[in-house]
Amino acid sequence: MEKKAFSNKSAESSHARLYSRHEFLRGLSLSAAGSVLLNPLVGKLSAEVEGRSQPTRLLFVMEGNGCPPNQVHPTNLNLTPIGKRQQTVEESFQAEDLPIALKPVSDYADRMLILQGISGRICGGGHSTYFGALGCFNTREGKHVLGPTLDYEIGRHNETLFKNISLGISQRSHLDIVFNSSAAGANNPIGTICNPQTAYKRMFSPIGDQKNLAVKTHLLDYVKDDIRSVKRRLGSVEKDKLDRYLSAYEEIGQRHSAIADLDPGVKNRIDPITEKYRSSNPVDRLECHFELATSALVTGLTNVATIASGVGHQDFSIVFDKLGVGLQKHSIGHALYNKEPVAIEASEKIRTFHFELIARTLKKLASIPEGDGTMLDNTLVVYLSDAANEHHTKCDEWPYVILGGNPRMKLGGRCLTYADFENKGHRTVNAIHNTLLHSSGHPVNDFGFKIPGLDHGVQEGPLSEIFI
Amino acid sequence: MKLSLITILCLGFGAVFATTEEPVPVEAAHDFIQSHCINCHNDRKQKGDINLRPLLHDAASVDLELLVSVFDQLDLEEMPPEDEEQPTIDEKSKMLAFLNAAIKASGSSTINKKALPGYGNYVDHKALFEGALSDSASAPPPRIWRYSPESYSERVNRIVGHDVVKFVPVATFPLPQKGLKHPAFPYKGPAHTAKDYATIHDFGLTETELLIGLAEELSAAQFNSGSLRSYRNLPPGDAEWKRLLNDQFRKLYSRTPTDTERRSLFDLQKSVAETSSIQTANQTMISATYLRPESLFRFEIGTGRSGASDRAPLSPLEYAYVVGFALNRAGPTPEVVNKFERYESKSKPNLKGLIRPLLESEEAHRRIMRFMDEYFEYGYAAYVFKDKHHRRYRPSWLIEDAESFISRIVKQDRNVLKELLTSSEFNVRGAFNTKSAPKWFQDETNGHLFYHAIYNLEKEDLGKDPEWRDFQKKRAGILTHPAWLLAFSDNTKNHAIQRGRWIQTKLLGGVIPDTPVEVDARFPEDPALTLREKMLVVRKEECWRCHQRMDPLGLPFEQYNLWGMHRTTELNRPVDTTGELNGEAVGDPIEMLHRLGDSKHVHQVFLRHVFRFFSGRNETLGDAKTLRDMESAYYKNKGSLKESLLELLVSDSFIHRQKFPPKK
Repeated sequence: MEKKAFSNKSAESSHARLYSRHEFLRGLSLSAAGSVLLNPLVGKLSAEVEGRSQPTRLLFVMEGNGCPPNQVHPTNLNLTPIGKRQQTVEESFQAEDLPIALKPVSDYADRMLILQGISGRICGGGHSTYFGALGCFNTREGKHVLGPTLDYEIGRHNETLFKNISLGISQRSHLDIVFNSSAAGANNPIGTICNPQTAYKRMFSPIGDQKNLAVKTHLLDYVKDDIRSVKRRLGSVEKDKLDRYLSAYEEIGQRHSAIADLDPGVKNRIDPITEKYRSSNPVDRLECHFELATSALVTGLTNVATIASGVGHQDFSIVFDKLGVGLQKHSIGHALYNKEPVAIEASEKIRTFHFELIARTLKKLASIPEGDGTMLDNTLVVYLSDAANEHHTKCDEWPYVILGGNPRMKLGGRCLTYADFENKGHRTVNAIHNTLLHSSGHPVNDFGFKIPGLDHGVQEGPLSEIFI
Repeated sequence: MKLSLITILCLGFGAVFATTEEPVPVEAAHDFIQSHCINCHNDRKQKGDINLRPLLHDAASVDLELLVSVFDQLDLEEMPPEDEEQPTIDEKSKMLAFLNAAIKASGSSTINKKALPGYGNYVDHKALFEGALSDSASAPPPRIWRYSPESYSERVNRIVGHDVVKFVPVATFPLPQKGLKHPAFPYKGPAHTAKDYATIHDFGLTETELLIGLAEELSAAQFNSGSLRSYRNLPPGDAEWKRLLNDQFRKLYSRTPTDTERRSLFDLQKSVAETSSIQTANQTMISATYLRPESLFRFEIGTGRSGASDRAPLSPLEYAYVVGFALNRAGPTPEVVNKFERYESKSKPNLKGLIRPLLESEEAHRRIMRFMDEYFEYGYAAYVFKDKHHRRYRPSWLIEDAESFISRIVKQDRNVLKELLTSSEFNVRGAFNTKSAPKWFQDETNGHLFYHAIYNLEKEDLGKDPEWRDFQKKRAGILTHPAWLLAFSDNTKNHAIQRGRWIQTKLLGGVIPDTPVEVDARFPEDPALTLREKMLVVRKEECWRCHQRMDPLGLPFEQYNLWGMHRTTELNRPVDTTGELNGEAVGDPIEMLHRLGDSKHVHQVFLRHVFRFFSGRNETLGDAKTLRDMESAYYKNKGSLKESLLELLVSDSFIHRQKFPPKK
């Protein structure tokens, strides 16, 4: 079996060598015979190799501080101001029509969909909607997590080792983890890992590491026995708490075991850990997180990843000094209200950087054949801001940029501007979430919380203009 | 989707309504619906978009979310409305049993919301302080209580010898207050409540993953630079390990290991040594000690000796722990543990004599101050963003002033709550170089414009040193302190509603139903309108039902501007500071606060919050005697918070637990 390595070069080179995912997946052989039955990941991947199913993947890229609609609007199209949108309008654009921030993904214009005018008032507003952006609820400044977020909800159905992964950057660069964007349920936030080394260690270090697995297994077995012994002693007292603690060890043990069972050669196909993983600079960290997320998607460790780039009031005011931007994002957000040229330039520069990183991911996915096409045909990158359209948002309109491919989604260089809130044709963000659930094979029509009294047709079901 | 959300909520907090074997009282429930519900919620008149007629036909087919909502509203006495005829206790309990059965038939279960943080006020206040007391003393259920992040950190850092566990403000969920924490120990409660509730904190997948990493880090620190650095390569089986493990257990659990515990840890050590280095084996064994449930939870099971059939006292070690952690975030020292040996044989006065010195310690003062911080919430001022001059104004200085104000009253320990609500003496910093320094230095570095001016002090009034200043007639108590006012404000306005909510829930013991998630009230943006005028939008019937409990209590604080400065005009008009307390008009905040400070009811509510913080749970009717004893001690000792707290620490509520398996 021929094994070929992925590297940064393959992602960045314009002549990236096409590498067969079929071939790649075959490389994920197990070291122990018969483990297929115990390892859902490999079982699923084997099925993919044999063409029995194609996974659908999602990468959410959520950038803090709002996304002004004009910054992602094609230059050949007029952006009708909010309040004057009588009906939903569909228009098309070409690569050369893309605004500055989207130029890096111009190779993928025919795989791009821009959504304007969709409202998210159910999420409240302020500097950030936090978990509400992916959960469709009002967190009231991050204080209340009312339900699961979309990334978890889609990921939990997958037979991957990680149901979903959350990575991100924060102005509080000393923190390894923050809680700001993803949740597994009410009052159950999922940590966003901000330190790329921590994320790498968690996901990729155990690959093929049988020796460390043995140590870890002994440790976990000891703790599990100890918890069971406490449970026996206490009977029904606090059974739920102890069960939860015990089941965490069981899940961690199974995951460790499955990752350790992977061929160590898989590590060669993951973007290697480099010096920038030690950096606390947000630009470096963001690059690392895109590499990590892409590697996790490519290896099938997960099918759903979220990159939270400065999400939440305490995490968003980052200085992207390495991009030549000396202003904090908070100041930029304010200055945009005054249309200060320096702020517009800074904001576009930072957004452009995000789309440069998205472009690298797209390129890598496009370089790996899958089924009759490439991995890109089955992967969507969804770009949005947790503060919808502006620094102090009320979520009256929420720009989205969706790129990549999904057999059940019609993208194709289109820009849809939805009618205003009170007009026929308006849709809320619930509908986008429903669309992504449908296109991932989970036909949910009423994701998230809804505004009572508002016509159900506005909030329920997928977006008919997109979902095929 | 909604079904699954409800299910998650129910599962998340654990179903506590016991399965009833009794027949479902269908007829009684139908009578209840006909008498109390159907007039407003029928096919034609669907008030609030709710029709309860289907409950009469096939309750199990009714939407689960609606069933749970009806259950909660009835249980929490939100329905029937106050001005309608109220059901008897028996009628209500039958209706709840009926709903409970229907919810169970839908595959879910109800939760006892009254046990959750934020719902304590739903426990009947009158029954607690005036109702008949049960003949037999009751006891709360046995429990395990996750160590607070601060306690865990103190304990383990004591072992590793330096700050390995970093205290960091980790999460936006919930907003960190003063408490900094390791991410494996997040606080998960809602805002405006005591943070460390036993019911809601445990270890799920994310926390456990982080915990394993932390345990490895702690173990490595012990071997690299701590007490075990000389024993890295000490072979498994060496007799020295017995001593070392005893020492580790003493530090972690205040006891030595049993033979079984020691054996299983040595087995782990040997197993690892078979495939890895001795150092790895030793570190793994020590890591394991940090992951045992006993390292993470305090056990309050009630394993003391008892003649009663239904309850048992805490064992001496358990009691030493509950008292030790109540008064010291690091928990009991070995001396304190020894002190409580055979505590059961002591009379209450003697027991109080044992505890009183602990209560006078600096650690206990810090715990009381922590309570004050969580109760009054002035610490949130640090997280309020103000666009204008945000880099120059200094909430941290104001928070320190508030702490200084409270600390003095706590130390004096006389008429504590009344002083907290009405004293007009605040500690204010001085200003260096007031005469010769340039204006910018005086205004900004010295902080006049963004600090002293908030107290309405003029430059010429400032001395070098901090001073206690009397703001009589302008301010009264902590609720008029700039730190508290700022904590309940935002970038553009005062939070009159939240201020009112605070008074309603924390002083009056009232309840405000959960804000409907869909509510996104927007005030008019007309700059010519005052906040009071903008707030007229909530006078609509559907809003006013709740807002009438908050707004009239919060609006008197319009006496102070966005920065907490006292003012007499607003938008070039005389400022309107009127409000309403218990149905009677008040003219300004000072009048209102003096009335609150004189109220016996307000003092009782305050003591209920003291109970919650130090017990880590809501009070129940079974705690009525304890609360009355606390109140009595408070008044007998001239408003002493410490004597009241002492009463709590020796109460049945603190000492006893139901025998397990718990009584049904």
